[in-house]
Amino acid sequence: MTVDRLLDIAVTINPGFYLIAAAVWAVFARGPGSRGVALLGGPALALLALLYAPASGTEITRSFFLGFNMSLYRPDSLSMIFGFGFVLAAALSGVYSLHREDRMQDSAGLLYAGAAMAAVFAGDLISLVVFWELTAVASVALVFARQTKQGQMAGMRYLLIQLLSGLLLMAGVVLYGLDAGSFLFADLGQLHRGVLIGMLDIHAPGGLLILAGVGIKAAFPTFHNWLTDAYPNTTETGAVVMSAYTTTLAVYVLARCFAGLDWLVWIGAAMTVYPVFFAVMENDLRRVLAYSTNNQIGFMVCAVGIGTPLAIDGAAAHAVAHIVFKGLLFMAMGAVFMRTGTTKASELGGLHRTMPWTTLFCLIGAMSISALPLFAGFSTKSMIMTAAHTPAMFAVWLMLLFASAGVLEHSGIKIPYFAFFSHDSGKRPKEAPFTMLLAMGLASALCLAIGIAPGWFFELLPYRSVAMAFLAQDLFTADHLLVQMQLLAFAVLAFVLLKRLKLYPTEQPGVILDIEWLWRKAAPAITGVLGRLAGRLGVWADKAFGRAGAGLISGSGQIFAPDGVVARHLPLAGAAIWTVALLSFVLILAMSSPG
Amino acid sequence: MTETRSGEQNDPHPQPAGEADEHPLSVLLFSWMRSDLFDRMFLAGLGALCAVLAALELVIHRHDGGGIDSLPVFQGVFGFLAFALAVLSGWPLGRLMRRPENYYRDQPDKDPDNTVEEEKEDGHDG
Amino acid sequence: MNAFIDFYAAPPGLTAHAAPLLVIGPLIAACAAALSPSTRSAWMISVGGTIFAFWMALCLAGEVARNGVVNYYMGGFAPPLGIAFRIDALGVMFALLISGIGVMAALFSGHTLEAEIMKGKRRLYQSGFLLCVAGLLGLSATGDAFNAFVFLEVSSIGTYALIGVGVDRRALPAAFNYLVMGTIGATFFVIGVGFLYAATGTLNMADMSGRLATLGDSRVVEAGFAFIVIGLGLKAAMFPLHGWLPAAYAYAPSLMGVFLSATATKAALYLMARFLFTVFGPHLDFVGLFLTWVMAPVAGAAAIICSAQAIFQTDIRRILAFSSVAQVGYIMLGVSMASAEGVSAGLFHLFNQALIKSALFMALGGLAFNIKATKLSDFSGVGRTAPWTMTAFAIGTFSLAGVPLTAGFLSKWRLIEAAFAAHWLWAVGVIAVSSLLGLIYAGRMLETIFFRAPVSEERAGEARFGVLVPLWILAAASVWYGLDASLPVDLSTAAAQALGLAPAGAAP
Repeated sequence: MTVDRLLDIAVTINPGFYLIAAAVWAVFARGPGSRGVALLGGPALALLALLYAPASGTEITRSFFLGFNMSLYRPDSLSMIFGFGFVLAAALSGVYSLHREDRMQDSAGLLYAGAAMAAVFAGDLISLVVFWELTAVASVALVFARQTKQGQMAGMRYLLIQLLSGLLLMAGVVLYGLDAGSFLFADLGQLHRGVLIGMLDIHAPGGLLILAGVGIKAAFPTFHNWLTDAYPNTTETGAVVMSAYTTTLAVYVLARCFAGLDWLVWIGAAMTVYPVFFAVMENDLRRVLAYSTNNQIGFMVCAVGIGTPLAIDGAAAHAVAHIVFKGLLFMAMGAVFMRTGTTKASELGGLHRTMPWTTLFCLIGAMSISALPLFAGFSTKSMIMTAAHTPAMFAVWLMLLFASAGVLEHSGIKIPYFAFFSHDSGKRPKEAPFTMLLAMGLASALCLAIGIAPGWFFELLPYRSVAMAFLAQDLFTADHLLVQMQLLAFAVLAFVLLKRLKLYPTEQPGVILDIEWLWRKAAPAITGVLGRLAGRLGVWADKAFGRAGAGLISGSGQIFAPDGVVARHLPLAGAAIWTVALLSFVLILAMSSPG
Repeated sequence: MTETRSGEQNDPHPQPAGEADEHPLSVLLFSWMRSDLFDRMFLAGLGALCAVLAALELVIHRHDGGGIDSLPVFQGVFGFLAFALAVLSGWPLGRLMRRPENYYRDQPDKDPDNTVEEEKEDGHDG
Repeated sequence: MNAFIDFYAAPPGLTAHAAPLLVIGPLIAACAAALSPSTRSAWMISVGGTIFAFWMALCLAGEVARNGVVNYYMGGFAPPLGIAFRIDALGVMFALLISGIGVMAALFSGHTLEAEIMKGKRRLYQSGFLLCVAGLLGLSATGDAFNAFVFLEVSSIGTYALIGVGVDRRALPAAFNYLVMGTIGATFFVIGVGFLYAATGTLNMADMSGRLATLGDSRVVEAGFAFIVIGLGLKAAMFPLHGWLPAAYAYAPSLMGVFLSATATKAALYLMARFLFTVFGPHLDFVGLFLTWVMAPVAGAAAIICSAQAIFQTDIRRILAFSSVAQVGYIMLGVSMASAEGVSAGLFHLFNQALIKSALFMALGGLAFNIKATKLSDFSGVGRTAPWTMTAFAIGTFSLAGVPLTAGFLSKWRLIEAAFAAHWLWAVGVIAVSSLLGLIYAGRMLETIFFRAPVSEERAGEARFGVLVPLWILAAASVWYGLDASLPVDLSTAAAQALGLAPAGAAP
């Protein structure tokens, strides 16, 4: 039947393309109905495509890229869980942004989601790079969408860093693929217990370049600044959208390409620790959340480095749960930002009086990220902590444990406390619009669903049996609950005591220096000095060369511009000198060549 | 947990508790938190919870890696110290790394020199 | 060339004479346009003449695909005495490109000349344009070194006049500048050809190549070589001899911007490749030295320095012009690798650049009706009032910056591949850095056009339909060739083979 035939074709299309099609629709969508179709219909179609996806490991291969085989759609259990996370993110951010009639942001958000999704289901390195670049382009539009000078400068910095990463990745992929003779995942690596992970060899040509490119996207230490710079500079919806994809996609690529690489264990552990200190000092709550993202991605990177089935499951599960609860926190902060125009802790406080629903949802998000039992973060992060809890990695485990206490500080307490409680700022904003509350409510429900009954969620993970065994034997055991509660309860006790003793730092306005200082302050200063130097040199050189040039030209009979005015306005004299110089050089080169 | 930072003393119009324009859900969920009694009860309850959690270790056998994490109430103590370290490090690090708001001169509406003045005053207060 | 193997565009009788007709068609049309009764009829003659040339180029493509080389002797006199046209895959690629862009430019010209050219001069303007097309096509078809000079000058003289004739007064000094530099270049070229004639006694390029091979080490040949490459380098805007280009492109009437940016420097590049690889040949020491020690570094410097210069321009056309010089750098970088991969990647990039630059200049020219604007800041927010025009512009910009899914991405990719294959890691670095810089100026343009609020009350409306059609054909081609690049890749690979460069080993 033709309908069946059409459906057969429809399920062999990469689900990301449905979101990209919705993005095209969104460009032309006017009015709430049409926008709703784009923002919700796109994710719904993508979800259907996921549900009816071909069997794991099927490849839809086409050869139209310069003679290389490209695999546009290669679903397997690792890509499925990330694809599921991206569908959730697209749907939630779609609902969240319904209140704001902005076709460019709708479209960019959907394109971003679609490109990320397509990248996750791509089956070869070239498609991966192409879709990866597309996410960068789409996301830049979101940073630019807040039409302030600050936003635009941040957008340019973001764009540059993203594209640098894209270039590194592209160069690495070309080197790697040419050396290996294929770009297809299936040719590059082998299955590890049924899942294709860790397929690239870091020591092969291009391996390091790929890691560097992915590392920038994953916000490795010292490459992390784009994240903390861009997220606080977007609109209220932009930050929600952005928090979901780029770093999560990086975790996916790390798992696919470099799972089990032991450097990642240490890089990830370092990533969990240092943002804690920045987040304590930071005044802008959305920037605190950006540091918190950094810290959470660290857990995943570390798990990918460990590379055991439980760790990979933990990384994937935590990545998807992180999309939900970090999205929820960004949604809450976005609502605050929209209603008050700021997310600076020093200007906020006491908002729970008029924004109780937002407060409630923010608290659920905060408890989820702090890994309180029965909330999403507990179910997923526990896998990573358990995988890391071995004598060989004891130091790493301690770092992760420290970071867990740190998460509680900056995301669990600082975010809700300073925005909604704390000292009353006197601000009495309206509650967030209904669609925003709806999105937050849905995300909260998901946090609880993953936290209370994680079984359905663990079914989706790459190593299903390992995850189910973990759920049955380790997750909700008395001793596991006990140690986690001890960690959290004692940490909260520390907070209350420090607050009582007035040892908790007050919120002060100001920016916190980070690695960006290098290019936002030091580099302009250095180029300024060099520029002044070059200016002096230029004046001197102008005089010197001017005289030499005049000599040369008078020798050749002053053919051009005797009046001198033209000579000053036109670069003729200079061009003539260059021509003569180059000609002489080529003549000398040619004549001196060995016979 | 009432706010005790110095900023509040400078606030000429402190908001009275239990306002008229408060959202009913907020009255239901959060308004009772704004009392000194709750503050004290919260601290007491938290202390009791910690004590119970520590005591439970006697009953529940805990898996551990065999290192220092086999010490009693290891995760509790570690959590307490880690949290305190993170928070307290905010003081010296803040001194070292905090700069005025318009440090990168990206906010055209603000004059960086003025914020420097404010920053200095804040510094003296703290 | 496989796409053309079964391609018969015209009856055999016509196809047999396609080579001269390729040049004569536009020449006759040029005369007709000058004598035509009205602007409108001149425009139709212009469109007809270029379409005819494109048709002939297609016929030739079929012939070349089947026979490899098309030789045509004027009046039946064989080369040493007679005048010969010799068209191979490289020549066909350029003939297709020049005549194809010519058709687009001619279509475009009907709607913009009114705004930019004084009333009495429009017919002559079309005539000059056709003359320029004829000259460039002749260049791609001729097999004779001196005729190449003649055709180069035919096209250049047309160009000098056409640049200066617009309403923008700054175009006059620009045209004068170009005239002087172009004449120096042509003189150098003809001096070089003279040296070669003295040494070999022939002007036919194929004969010349054969005799040079037996000549051994000759100072005369070496001097001729130096004059030819520098002369052509000037015409091709080889860094640092590009001084004439930015002003000429920026201030010329938009038709010239569209056509010249796509073809003029490219034709000189064609001739340079022809001399480097077929007349001299990379096996000669001095050619190898020139490629490695002059062309490659100069190309790298162009790609970086001119991209950086483009970032700091305030005039949007000057941004594009400096970008053109940078792109010439990319192309020369590919050519200087002297490998089949490098040269074909360079030619592929050249093909894409021709599409992109003509589309970009066309989009700007299409708005010339509505806004008398040249500064980038004048274009603030134009994306909102002229979405179709500026979306096409955005596609062109994406391709220029090498964003994936566009043709510009694929050709940069091929260049990087070729650089890796040649073990020129520095060239990979150059391409990467220059691409970054390219993204900055591309981002700057798009940011202004789409994200800034409009500066003036004066609303820039959409370009006319007659402009949108060729504009979107070019933009769509950029996207199409970004997805399925088989045609330009075929053409450029065959062209590289026609230059005597065999691909090294089997491609994966």
